[in-house]
Amino acid sequence: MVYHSSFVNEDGVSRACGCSLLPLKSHIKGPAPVSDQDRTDIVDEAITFFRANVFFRNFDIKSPADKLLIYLTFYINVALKRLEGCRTLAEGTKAIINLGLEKVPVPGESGFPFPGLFPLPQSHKEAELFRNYLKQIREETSGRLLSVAYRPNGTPNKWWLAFAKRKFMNIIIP
Amino acid sequence: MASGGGYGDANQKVDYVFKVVLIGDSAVGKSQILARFARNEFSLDSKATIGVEFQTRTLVIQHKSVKAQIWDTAGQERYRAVTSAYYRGAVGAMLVYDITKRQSFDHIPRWLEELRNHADKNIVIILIGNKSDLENQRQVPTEDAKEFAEKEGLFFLETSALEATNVETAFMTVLTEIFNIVNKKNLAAGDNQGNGNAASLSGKQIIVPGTAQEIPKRSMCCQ
Repeated sequence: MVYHSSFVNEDGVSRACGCSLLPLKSHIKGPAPVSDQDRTDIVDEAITFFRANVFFRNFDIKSPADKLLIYLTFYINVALKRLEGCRTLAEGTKAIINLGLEKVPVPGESGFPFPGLFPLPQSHKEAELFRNYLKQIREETSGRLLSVAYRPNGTPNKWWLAFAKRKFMNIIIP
Repeated sequence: MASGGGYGDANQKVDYVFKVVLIGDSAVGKSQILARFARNEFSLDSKATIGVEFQTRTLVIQHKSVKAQIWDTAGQERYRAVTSAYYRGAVGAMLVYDITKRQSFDHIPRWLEELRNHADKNIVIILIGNKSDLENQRQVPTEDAKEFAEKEGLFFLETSALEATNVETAFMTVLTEIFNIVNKKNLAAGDNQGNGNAASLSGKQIIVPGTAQEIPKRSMCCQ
C-alpha cells in the first residue's frame, strides 16, 4: 500500500493552488515557514517513502499534503534520472544544480506534470507564491537527495540510483 | 612549497580534494580564469556560461597530492537561484571583478554576503581584479580593492587571464592557505600574501570533501 504524508491537519499553514505550504527544515530563501530541525518535514517523508511509492501507478489522496508528496516523488524521480551516469558526487551536484536552474512550471502552465491535481492559481501573486515554494522545496530536496544518492567518499549509492529507471505513476520523464 | 600539477588528471592517489568556487558578475572573466588555470587556455570568443561547470587540476603542495576542483557559474542575476548546492563543501572562493567595470567591483559586497550566507564560515576567500592587461581602461584603482580586501579579511590579487598574469599565483594562494588550515599549521604573518587576517584562520577546522574516486568498472557485490 502507498505511504501517505503524516501532515494531515496542519492548522495555520497558508495555501497556494490548493496546496499547504508546509514548513521546511531549510536555510534556503523562500516562502516556506521554518520547521524545527529535529522534526520530520515533507522532504524527509518524500525521500523516506520514495523507494516504495515510486512503484505505484495510482495514489489515493488522503490530505492536501499528499499532493505535495506526489509532486516531490515525481521530482526525485526526475532528479535521479539526471544523476544517471554521474559517477562522482561532483558530477551529480553539477547535474542537480543545472536541473534547479530550469523553469519551474505551476498548474495551468505547460510542463506541469500533474494537470488537474492542483487547482489553478487565481492570481499572478498566487502563481508566483506557489512557484517560489516549489523552487524552494525542490532545492531542499535536491540537497538532501545528494546526501543519500552518493556515499561519503563521493561514489554513487546504487541502491538509490537504480531507481532512476522507475516511472512514477507511469509518467514519462523528459 | 607548491608545484603545479599537469593539466588533466592522471589516476594518481589524491590526498585532498579542495572545492573552490568562482563568483562575480557576468563577463568579468571567471570562465577564462578557470580555463587558464585548469587547461592553460584562453579563448578570444568566449560565450556566457550556462548553468554550472567544474574542472579539476591536481597539484602537489608540500609533498601532498591535492586535487583542486574549481566550480564556475554564470554571473547573470537569473542564475542566482540555485546557491546551496553550489557552495556546499566549498573550502575556497574566488571573488572576481573586472578592473575596467566599476559596477562589477561595486557588486562585490553583495557576492560576499551571498558567500557568507551559504558557505562554510571558515572558507578561504581571495578578491581578484581581472583584466589587468587593460590598464588604459581601468575604472577600479588597485588601492580601492586592496583597502576593501583588508577591511573584509580577504586575500587580494590583480590578474590577467589573457596574459596569464597572477592566475596561477591566485589559485596557489588559496589552495596553500586551505592546505595549511587543514593541516593546522600556524602561518607566520609574513607568509600571508596580501592578507593581514589569514593568520587568524590557522588552526581552525575546515571540512574537506573526501576524494571522489570513480566506481570501479567491474560490478560490485551488495554492500
